[in-house]
Amino acid sequence: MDDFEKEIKIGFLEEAAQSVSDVEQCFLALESDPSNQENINKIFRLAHNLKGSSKAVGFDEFGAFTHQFESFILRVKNKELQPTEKVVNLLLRANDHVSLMIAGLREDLEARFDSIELLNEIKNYQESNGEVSVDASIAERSVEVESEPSIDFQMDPSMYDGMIPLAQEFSEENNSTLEVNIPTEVAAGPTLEESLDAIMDAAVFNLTAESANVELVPVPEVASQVAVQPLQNPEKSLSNSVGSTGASKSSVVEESIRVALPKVESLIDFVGELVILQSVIREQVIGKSEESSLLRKTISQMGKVGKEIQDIALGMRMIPVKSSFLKMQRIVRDVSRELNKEIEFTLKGEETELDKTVLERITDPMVHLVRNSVDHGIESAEMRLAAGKNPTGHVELRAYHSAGKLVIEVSDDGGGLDAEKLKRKAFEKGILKPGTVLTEKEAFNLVFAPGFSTKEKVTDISGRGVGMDVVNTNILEMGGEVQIESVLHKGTTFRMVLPLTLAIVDAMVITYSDEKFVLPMNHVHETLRPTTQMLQQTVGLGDVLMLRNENIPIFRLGDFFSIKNSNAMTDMIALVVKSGPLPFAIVVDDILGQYQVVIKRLGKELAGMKGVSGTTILGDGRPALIIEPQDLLKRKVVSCFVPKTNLKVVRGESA
Amino acid sequence: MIDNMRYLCFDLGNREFAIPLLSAKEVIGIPEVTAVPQSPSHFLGIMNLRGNVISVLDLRLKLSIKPVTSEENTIIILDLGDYNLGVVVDRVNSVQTVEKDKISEPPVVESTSKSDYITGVFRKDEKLILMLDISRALSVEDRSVMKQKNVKAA
Repeated sequence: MDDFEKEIKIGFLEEAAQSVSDVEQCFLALESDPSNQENINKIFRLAHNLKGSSKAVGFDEFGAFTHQFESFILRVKNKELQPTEKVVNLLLRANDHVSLMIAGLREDLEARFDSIELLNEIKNYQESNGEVSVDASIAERSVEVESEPSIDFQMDPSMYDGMIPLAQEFSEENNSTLEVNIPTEVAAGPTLEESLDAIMDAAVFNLTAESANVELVPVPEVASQVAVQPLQNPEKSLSNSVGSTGASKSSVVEESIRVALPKVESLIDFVGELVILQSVIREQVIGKSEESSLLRKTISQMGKVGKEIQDIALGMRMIPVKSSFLKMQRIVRDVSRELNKEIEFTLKGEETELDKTVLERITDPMVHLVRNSVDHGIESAEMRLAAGKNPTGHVELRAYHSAGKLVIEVSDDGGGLDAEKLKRKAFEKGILKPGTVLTEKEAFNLVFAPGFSTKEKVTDISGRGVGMDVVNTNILEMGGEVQIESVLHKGTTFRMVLPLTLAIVDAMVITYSDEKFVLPMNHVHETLRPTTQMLQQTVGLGDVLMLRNENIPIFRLGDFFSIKNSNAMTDMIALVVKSGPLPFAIVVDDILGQYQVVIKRLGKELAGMKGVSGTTILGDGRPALIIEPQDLLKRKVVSCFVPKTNLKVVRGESA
Repeated sequence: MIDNMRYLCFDLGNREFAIPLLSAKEVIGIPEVTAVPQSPSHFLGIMNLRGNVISVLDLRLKLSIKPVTSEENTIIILDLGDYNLGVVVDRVNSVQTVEKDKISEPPVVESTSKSDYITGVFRKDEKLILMLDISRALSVEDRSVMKQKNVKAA
């Protein structure tokens, strides 16, 4: 396979993956509203496009499957088949299979797949229900011989007559089965709409010249137009022509292009550098006596433009949560089927944007929470009726921005969390020491303990008690948190509060012995200047900060990095860190300010460094280390004293 | 088979070394460097190279070569696959095209264990140039040094 072929294949797969996820919701919508012709048309176009372009780039197997898929959906489209539950299920499975093939091919361009079973099922269904299609000039015929394996042929009806004897001869010679399917829709000849679809192919999947050829051979008079027109204004001509046939294209989609993430990242790097250079120039000019007002004005203007570009560049990493949200629809559907629960699932705020890397990392936790709500949250219909509720459960997935954070809520109107039951369970499992007193909130947080599950029965959906703990750790790792709100018998809300991006962080720039360090704000609970009364030296425990009713260990930042500093602690500033299981305080010389810094990964040569999560470039153009306080604590073996029984400490002992 | 290869020649102390030209991305003057605490002495710190943070090492200290001058210094930015590093050298001299058969095995000396990063030698104007396997020269301990140090610190 040469590079060009590889490239177009990879290009096709990317495109295909996108198209599949775009259409996913149509499949589900089809179920709730089978008569919606718009959805069927969209699915048909998907299958049709995939078929055409996959063949063009040389994925024959893929093409063969999507061809069948297309034939099937065409029958639905032409109302020859009713979109019953069974049909929708078959369509969904076909869609899954397509996704599977795309994923497989992405890993290995030569991958092969076993599609026979599903194909046969689709075919059988069509045959058993397809006798209505008498209008077709050539009905589907098959020649079957009693032996295995079988080969499927798809061909143009004009070639059909010649092929039957050939096929028979072939099968006799090889002593194998031959099945010849003549798809009815081809026999009907290309309709106007199909021709238009072909135009769309040429415009949308402008991959190779062949892709147009493959589709347009039967309609040469259209092909000649296509060659000139789509280049001028494909979007417009498409919406006009398709609209005239009644196919939907009501809303004009905002145009977008795909850009590789590394490109965006290097753009962000360079823009950052530009902003720094601008500030260097400003320092040089401002304050000089001979400064010209025009120069000063231009420089400050430049600064504004630079910041603007920086914002735009950073915004380019942001994508709407929609794609992940739509996947959840499918999950709710499947899980509720399996559990025989009626669930009404609503999505809110699908347009909310967040960083692609964050989205990737929260998708799994989100799946887990949604499954959990359906499985554990919503009670069975009988129980709901007994409790005087609507037998149909309600699960809502909602995303919104709040105070510079992204919030994703999964709420259900189910039974709610029972704090007493949770505690009992925790005692039984030995997760909690007997006699521990917990607030309601702390009891709710027990669900995050490893190995904790309140569900008596372990299903393959949830109940093994591994998931919630993973959800929590994943979110914490990203600098977010999971909050639980629950009212017994009313319902539960899991709220994930996340940073919008992992690329930028609000941080404090601090100094310690002339060295600058960066500390992310989300770790800093409060800052204060310690007084002599607050500081207490203890034997064996080091320095202790007596802060209101808490006694927390206090360290000099330099203690972790062997940087000497002889300033008295009372002349320094203490930062109280409460982001982890153990609160502690770090003293630093000064806080220079609060900035948004772009996080850069540590080079591999420094990757093993504890207490440092990355680097950033400060306003003066010099790099600085970003401190990770929790990790910092690990650099020191701390003989911890715990002010209050703490869940995580208990957890540590049980492990 | 490539018979000729181009090498970047530079001075460390009063000795001349060469590395394959393709492993060098660029040559720059020493910028401001931020120290990294608890790093080995030859690890000078991190620098900002047009928005990228790059570690800077002093190759002279690393190879225990006494620098001739501390005033005129140069950094060679290396691209070693996974690692992008800057190394400080005394002076960058020239780019040499060396025929393969002009390169000879390094002379065997008593303490071979410490100089296994010299892969060959060649002559230029009656002067011997040592060919340096830069990643071997650096990887002897650098790649894991931070981890080892931390184990000790903990």
